[in-house]
Amino acid sequence: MNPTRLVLLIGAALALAACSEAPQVTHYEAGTYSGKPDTRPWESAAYGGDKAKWESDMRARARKQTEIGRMPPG
Amino acid sequence: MARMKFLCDTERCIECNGCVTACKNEHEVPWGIQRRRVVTINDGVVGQEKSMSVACMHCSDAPCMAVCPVDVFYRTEDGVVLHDKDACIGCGYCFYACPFGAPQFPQTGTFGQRGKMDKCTFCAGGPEADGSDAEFEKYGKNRLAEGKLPMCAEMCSTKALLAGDGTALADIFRERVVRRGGSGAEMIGWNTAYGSGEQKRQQTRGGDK
Repeated sequence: MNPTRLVLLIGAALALAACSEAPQVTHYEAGTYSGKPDTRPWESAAYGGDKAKWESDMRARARKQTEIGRMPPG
Repeated sequence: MARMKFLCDTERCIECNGCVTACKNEHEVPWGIQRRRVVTINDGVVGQEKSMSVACMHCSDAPCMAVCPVDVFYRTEDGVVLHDKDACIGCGYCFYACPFGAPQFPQTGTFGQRGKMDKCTFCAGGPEADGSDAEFEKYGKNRLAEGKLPMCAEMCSTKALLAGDGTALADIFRERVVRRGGSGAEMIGWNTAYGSGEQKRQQTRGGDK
């Protein structure tokens, strides 16, 4: 075989080898939000921007979901 | 800052569908859309059958956000995953990505093609003026802006479904599990939605090195 041809063949085989193969598993990344801007819940008419009050109200409301402690131990 | 989460206590859920009805009524959700539903786990397995109320869990690392080709999803400061219906193209990718089957698509037109995606908003409305007609029409009521928790959880008669700040929910659930001797501590779906903490631990370990 012609040495030039042989070198070309080996070169082609190396170029096509998997060592240069890029990973084919898709990696999803959330993009930048493209929709309309939204206001925050404490910026509503009911709270007028008072974040601390909103958070305190939400925490109190969440704690009310348990009935334990509502009645004195029997 | 509060991180809003849902937790369904399968030891308490009696499959009454009160949460489903409350949600549909509060937001006037149209026919064919189920923002919340009650499912049976281990159906037919004696002693292991559980009922559970499922909707969008507002995941910490939401897969719907990652796969959306038009990036209509956003996460609010309090951890609620919402979307802009005006920009939604109804492709349905989010439905395939969601581990909870939360995204819903109204069948519109003569050939029943998919409409814009609809899902639970944690009663936080969407990107329209708070309490406006436009917001109610597209997303339903905005109870969070009124200082209220989601209607489904507030209506739950056995308080199986809990909603609110993750820390408060964890405290309530821990207290319950301890009182009933450790049963039903699985919190089905919690790790899928909010992670098991392993990622956080790995980050901490990485930071120590």
